[in-house]
Amino acid sequence: MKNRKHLRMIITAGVALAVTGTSLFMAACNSVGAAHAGKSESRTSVAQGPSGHAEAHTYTDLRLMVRGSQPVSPPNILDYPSDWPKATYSRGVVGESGVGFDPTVNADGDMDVRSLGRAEALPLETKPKVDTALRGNDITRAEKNTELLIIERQRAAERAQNDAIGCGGLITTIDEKQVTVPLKHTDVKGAVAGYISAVTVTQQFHNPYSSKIEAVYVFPLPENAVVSEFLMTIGDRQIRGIIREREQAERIYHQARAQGYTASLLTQERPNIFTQKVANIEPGKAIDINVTYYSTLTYSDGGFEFTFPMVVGPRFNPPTAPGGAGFQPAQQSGIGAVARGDHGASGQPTEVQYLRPTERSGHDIALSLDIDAGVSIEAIESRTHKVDVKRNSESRATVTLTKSDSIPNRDFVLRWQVAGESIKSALLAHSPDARDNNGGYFTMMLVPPKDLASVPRNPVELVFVLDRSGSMDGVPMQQAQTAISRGLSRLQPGDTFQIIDFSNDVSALGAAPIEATDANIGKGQQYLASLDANGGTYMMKGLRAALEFPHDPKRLRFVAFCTDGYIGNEAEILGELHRKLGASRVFSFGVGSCNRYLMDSMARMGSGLATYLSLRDDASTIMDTFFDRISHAPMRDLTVNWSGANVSEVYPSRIPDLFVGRPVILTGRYKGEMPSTIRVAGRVGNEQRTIDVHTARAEVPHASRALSQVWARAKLTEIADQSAWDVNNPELSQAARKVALDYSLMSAYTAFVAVDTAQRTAGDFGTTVHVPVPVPEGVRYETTVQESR
Amino acid sequence: MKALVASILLVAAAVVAGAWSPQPEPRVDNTMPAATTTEFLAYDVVIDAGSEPLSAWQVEVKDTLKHARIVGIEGGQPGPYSGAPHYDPKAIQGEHVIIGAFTTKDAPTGKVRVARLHVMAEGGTPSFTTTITAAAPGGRAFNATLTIQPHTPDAAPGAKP
Repeated sequence: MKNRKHLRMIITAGVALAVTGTSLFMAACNSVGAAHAGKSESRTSVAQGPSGHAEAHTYTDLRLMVRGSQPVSPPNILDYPSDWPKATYSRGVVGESGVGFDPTVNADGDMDVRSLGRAEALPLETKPKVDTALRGNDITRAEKNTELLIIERQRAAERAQNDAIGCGGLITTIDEKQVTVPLKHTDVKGAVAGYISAVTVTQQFHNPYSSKIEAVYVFPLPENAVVSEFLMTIGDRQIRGIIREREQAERIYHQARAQGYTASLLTQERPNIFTQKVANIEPGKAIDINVTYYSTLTYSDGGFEFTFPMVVGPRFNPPTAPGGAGFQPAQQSGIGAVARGDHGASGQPTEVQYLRPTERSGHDIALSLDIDAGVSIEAIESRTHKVDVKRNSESRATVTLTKSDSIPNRDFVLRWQVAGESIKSALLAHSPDARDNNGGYFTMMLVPPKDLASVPRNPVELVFVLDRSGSMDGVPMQQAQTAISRGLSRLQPGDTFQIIDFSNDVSALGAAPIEATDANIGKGQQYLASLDANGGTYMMKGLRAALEFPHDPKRLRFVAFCTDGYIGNEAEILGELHRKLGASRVFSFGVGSCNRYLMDSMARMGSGLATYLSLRDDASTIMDTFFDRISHAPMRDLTVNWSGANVSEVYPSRIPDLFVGRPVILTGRYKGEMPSTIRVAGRVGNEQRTIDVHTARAEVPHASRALSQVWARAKLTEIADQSAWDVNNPELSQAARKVALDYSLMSAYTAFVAVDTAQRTAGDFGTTVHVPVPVPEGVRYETTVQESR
Repeated sequence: MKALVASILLVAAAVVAGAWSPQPEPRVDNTMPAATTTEFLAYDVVIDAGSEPLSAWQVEVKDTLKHARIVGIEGGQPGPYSGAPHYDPKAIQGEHVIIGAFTTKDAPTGKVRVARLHVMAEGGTPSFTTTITAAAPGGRAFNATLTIQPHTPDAAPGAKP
């Protein structure tokens, strides 16, 4: 998927661009180039800083940077990619000749870049030396309009000083790979009560530049997050955002932006990907955005799991994928993955800009979580991050991310085990207010019967599907191969299996189900080990190959789909899964900091379960857990006897099967009284089983609100699932829009907008600055991110 | 945080449920400035509680000419009502806003700026009708005066109206 177009430039040997111990003027607040032209006599220069005081700056090192064919007009640093150095004190643009340039040092020690066309003489104190970074073999030619930037390499101490808001002299430190971003810090504070979490995410934006900016940040939230609150904080003023239809919110935002008002807009690109825009941030100013969401936690095998995604993985968009299939509005399609500064290169309406492997941003993250498990907590563990755990009581704890682990480049996953038999099936209801005609809401957790684990399974037909696209290269591929290898070794006589792998194309171990003999398993292991990861993620090919595979009716068919899910055509995949599912059950294995929205949706629509395999997990253990689950018959065909209660709109409308160790959560509405006990019936093998569920009332106010919003979110999910295959049904989008607006929820059709109309900033809206992010841990930039130069 | 969330949500629930009654008759506020084609305006929501302690309030504001769209709701002056109040999401779809808040301590008296409305006005001047319900400690309703007044941009942040 990579599209690298090298910039070529001639550099004469012996030319010096980097100097040490040079003392030169720097525009602390970045008047850039023009302010310094012709000052060749300078050694130390003085300029007016933002405070109006004279400021001096000493350079320690200089570097030459280039940028591809992009004209500079007007000559302002903010015309460069957002995170390019503010400390650039000179620049040049390759002129008509287009034959390259020959920067030399003249007798006065000045670098002469006049051959660039519109160039400026640079005052240098000592004879510089060649910047080795620009002597690569690929740099042999400069194209017209190529920009040249002379940049200071700043000392760490100075950088720390300049990092303060208001200085405006923030500098990209090329050697130390640090780049400026307008998102300074993300603070995550969560509270867990039982299996519901309420989380507030605060994004601290600032403007370290010398003129106004609009900050744009594409970020992830949990796929089941019920985003219901949005606040913009300017100083000590707090403005609550308004939920509106997306198009309307966007129009308001653009009007406010154009007129110079500080405004913010939150849109949803996928259930787990959001775009935050903040317009008219004045130099030196800071604006906080608070987003609050609820979510239900996953419970499995005796423990709860809290997940917070920190970075959007680089998505692949198959060229043949239709834009906007299913739940997404028509104008949306893929999500591009481009290099920092390559805005627009992907052609997708939503783009994530990624830091190069040698770069880091100053954006960090803090996270704390207060857990009230309601039952005794036996152990708390994070395999993905270092955490400090403070036990407040048997059932309560506070977990904090350590400061040494504050780079947001992978999902945060926290798991706490609770006392053995403490989790039982239960229904939590919110008592409706007598004046509220809508009635009440409930959630119900169905825990599998204990004796489920004693019921053996029938022979299975297990189809392993392995994503071997470029994004899986390296550790993710190794993890997936280890897991599948373990799975092969767990097959029993009478089972059959198949291995299907895909990237640009699809291949398989065999043309028909293969008997799970020792010899065949050995062949499967060999085949698996021979697979390399490269190419695009043409998941549709892999999915079709897995689901169109001839089915043996004597065996239960399980499809284990191992992927990071880094695709932009989720709706297309889910629609096809629905159409082709047949008798199969799809179990998704999300590898690394994967696309959990896709993983969960595939499992939900595929009547299976999602399993997550982080790069720090033991892959064999994860696969063993999966086998333990499928090695026993699930409780299926579940029906609920509501004992005459007036219950409606229960989601999911088709109750999922209960597998060993994995409860199911239902949510619904009711009027009147809820009986004290609800009975759920189902079938295990050929036997009938029942589960008695006791009801309880949610007395805490925020739990009541959470229940209604969790229900609304479940309804949106149900509509979204149907939209994936019922793509031309306009009633679905109308229904989704109404639910989202009525319950003040983010969705593909709604957005939050907030405008500060009390103060108007001067001038136009400034420059749009995109926040670049690191590729997720373990993912290779070179195989996943599109570069235009 | 939970306590904060709980108190906020209590207010939200009360707002949505229309907790305070009876509702006084709407009145027309004619103090609005003229608006151009698309203009962004701020209005301070000021309640004069007189000598009564303002423990709870609920306000409904509606532009009868349908020029105004609410684009943000800000908290009031420093004190118990400085936080941005919750709004009724269904009401906002009809381009009128119902907001409210309560405090269990230090209920202010006299004129109190309880909120600021941020508005985008399109095609004309908004003309607001308002209703107010005010309550003293214990939920006792009392008569209070509501004014929706254009915000003066030069006022220092947090200054009393």
